[in-house]
Amino acid sequence: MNLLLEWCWKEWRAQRGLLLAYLLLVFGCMMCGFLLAPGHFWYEDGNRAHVLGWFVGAGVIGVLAFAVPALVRGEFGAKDDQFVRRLPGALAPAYWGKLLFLLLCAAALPLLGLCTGELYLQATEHVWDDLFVVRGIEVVTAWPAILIGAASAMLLLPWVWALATWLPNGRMAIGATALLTVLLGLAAFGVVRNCPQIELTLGWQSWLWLVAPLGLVVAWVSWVRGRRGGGHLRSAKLGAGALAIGLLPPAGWLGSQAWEYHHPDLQALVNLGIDGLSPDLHFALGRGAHRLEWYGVPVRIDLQTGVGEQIGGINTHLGVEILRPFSLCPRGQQRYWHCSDYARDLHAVYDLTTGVRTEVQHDAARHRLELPADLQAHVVADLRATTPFRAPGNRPAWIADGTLFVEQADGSCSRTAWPEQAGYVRPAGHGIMVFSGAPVRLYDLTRRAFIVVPKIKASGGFAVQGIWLVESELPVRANQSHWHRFDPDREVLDPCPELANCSLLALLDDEEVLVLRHRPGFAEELFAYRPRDRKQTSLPPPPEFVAANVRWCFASFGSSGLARNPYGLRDPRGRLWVVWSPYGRQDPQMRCLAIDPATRTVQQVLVGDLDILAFPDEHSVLALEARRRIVRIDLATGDKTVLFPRTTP
Amino acid sequence: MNDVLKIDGLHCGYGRSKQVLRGLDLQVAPGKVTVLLGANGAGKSTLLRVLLGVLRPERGTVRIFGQDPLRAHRAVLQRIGYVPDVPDVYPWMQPRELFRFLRPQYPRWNDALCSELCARLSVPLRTKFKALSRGQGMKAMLVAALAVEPELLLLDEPFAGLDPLVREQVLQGVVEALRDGERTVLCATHELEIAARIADRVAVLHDGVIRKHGTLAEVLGEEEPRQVPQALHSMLAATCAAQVGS
Repeated sequence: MNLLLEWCWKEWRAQRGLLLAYLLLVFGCMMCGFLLAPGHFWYEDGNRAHVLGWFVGAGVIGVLAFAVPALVRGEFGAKDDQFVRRLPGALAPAYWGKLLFLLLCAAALPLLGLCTGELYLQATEHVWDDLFVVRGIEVVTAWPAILIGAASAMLLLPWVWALATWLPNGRMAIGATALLTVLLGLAAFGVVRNCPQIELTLGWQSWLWLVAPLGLVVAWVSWVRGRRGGGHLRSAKLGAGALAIGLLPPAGWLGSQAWEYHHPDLQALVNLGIDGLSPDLHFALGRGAHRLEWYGVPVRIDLQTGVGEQIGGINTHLGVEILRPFSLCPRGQQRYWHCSDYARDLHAVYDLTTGVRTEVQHDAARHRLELPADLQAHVVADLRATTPFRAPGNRPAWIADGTLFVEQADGSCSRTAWPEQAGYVRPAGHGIMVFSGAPVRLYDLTRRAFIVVPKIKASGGFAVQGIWLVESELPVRANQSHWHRFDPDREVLDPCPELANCSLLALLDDEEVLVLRHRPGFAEELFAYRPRDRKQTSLPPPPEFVAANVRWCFASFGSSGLARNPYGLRDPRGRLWVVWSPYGRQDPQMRCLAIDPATRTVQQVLVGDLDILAFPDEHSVLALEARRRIVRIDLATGDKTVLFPRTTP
Repeated sequence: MNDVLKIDGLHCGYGRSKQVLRGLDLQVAPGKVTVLLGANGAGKSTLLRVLLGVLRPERGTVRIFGQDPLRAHRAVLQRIGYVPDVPDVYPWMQPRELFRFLRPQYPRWNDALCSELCARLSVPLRTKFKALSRGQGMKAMLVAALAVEPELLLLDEPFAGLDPLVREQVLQGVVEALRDGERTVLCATHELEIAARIADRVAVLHDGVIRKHGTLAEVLGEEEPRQVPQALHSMLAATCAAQVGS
């Protein structure tokens, strides 16, 4: 103890002149500066605490820039730092004495700054009560940025000391510390940069507690072990070794987080989304992550065995678009997928059924993939089988090689030249919306021709056997839609006030549309609408639906986005399913309603946090539950069988 | 009889390109004054820095009182007094502050002896080292080295660059310290006259190794003491010339 105090005294004796001169000079200059600076700025509400913060910050700078480097530099005399190294076993007591001095300085100088700042504010008749501000019903502390910087600098004090022992004569320690901090920060940034949003879940702040103790350990090794029989190079060698060992836990932790990010446990995925299923319902193509905030990785899931297989990284995109024009609409069940990588210009066609990936060339000029002939034939066949476009009579239509194919009632195909190779398409009842630049263009599958809507600029449309319901692009009030009825044969455009605040969900049959009316403050309303004569038929919800007081919901069919067939999500019995998703409600349960087009009855069939995926048979449904697991639900009993993951996390 | 100092095959240098000691062997018996002779740059100071644990040998062993000065630094160095060629203490320090600072470092520190030596050598106690003359600084360093009552005294050219009066004072201080027959001294110098006055044994260091080592009589033959400086000079010149020739 005696030795420790002697070394602490020695530091004080060596540095007192410099520190006192610094404090007098800096505090004096700051006082003069604040007196001369525009008072209306510095003393306005929100800035007075900054004035105090600058005084505290000046104290911290004194410790950082003068006291700490001098712990090492002050040992160098006429014959380098031989004196301290030749005293009997003095390096360890010197370390502890210097540490005591450092702690005293780190406490005293900022406190002196605080007291001086307070005295200055008192003398100029100001207070720093604006450090505390009221936000809502809370009083919070608005820490000035200089104080946050000062606190960070305090964490680095041991590192300045440690790095000073690594350098000749202990010089340039602050620059070396800054450089080391930047290097370590860049290394960490390099990891985090490849893991978007990982910083939201890292909880890295807890590692800040390691910074100062690790710095002290490195300083101890560098000084006590490194200086025994060696100079700055030996200190650097041993200190760097200690630093490397000390960095192992945080580096290992960060590495494990990054590994989990890119290689999540497939049996414990959260935020699981299903993009589609193979036509035989054997495999599902999904995307999930280890944590809710992280980007997901694509996964091929075997629904029979429950085994998942990661088929790419976070930059791998699996989309429906293979042939031009690209469809904006998922097809639900689809065998071939366009697999691309955002980070690299790689394109492939992925066969979900077999898991085979075939690399293909991407013609950037024409924005299309160059497929081998045999693969092209398979893709077209898959497109035909799973196309979302429908002509009247629920006849499939698809576009390939510049030709629009429409299946006839007898199974043959009619062919029409498709003029638009660029752009994107999506189904619109018995029509197609084409997006190749504003405004949207509407293609009528009944007439096999584009239609031109007079007078208004259409933002969308929905065709029912050649009659179009066109949505105006005119500005409207929130939650309102301006629908018009347009008959291309007669070129008559009529407004449809009866469709105000309505969304068109799907074709109920070849003549009627299922419509959802939003009624602010009331339950949404479902009804069938026949464009030909504007007839509305109410579809009252089942009693249990009403009893649950379901309000503030919106309906979507296939809430996971699958099967955007204009005829909607249909079960094998032909019923149209509508999923009511909760929105801003206390009851988070989704409700699935089945509408029988023949009897016009609405039945509540399922309740739960479900995304309907497919109907394997008449008695069961595949669904994604809570975005965590794929279940098969028995419609008769409600029993659920978890298909993925098979092991509960 | 156990040697106070025993060095075997010592290699030491400053980096790979500058080897200073190349397989040095040396034994120093207790109670003897050994003068380490050598030209400038021969490695005398380097050897003393190794003995103090300031430098780490690349190869070889060093035992002082039977212990490794690097591993048992405190135990070994507490029994050693050291006078550098220039004061190596903090320039802002005063001699009285230095003595106060050293007192807890050495359990055998003798305050009375320190005061006596300061008075005898007229050491200014309240002047900072940076303001002291070289002679005054060296006297203060000699006091600091002797006040620990060392069993082994290491002197690194303490008389170099001093004016004759101060040199005589410092030399007198050393001679006084040698009256205690148990004290072992290893004095590095290239001043042959001083070597002739204090040496029991002489070790000639050249090119990183000890070329000759023994009593004055063994090293010089049968020369009379009053002719020793000249004889030492001749011997040194011959040793160096022989090495250059080989």
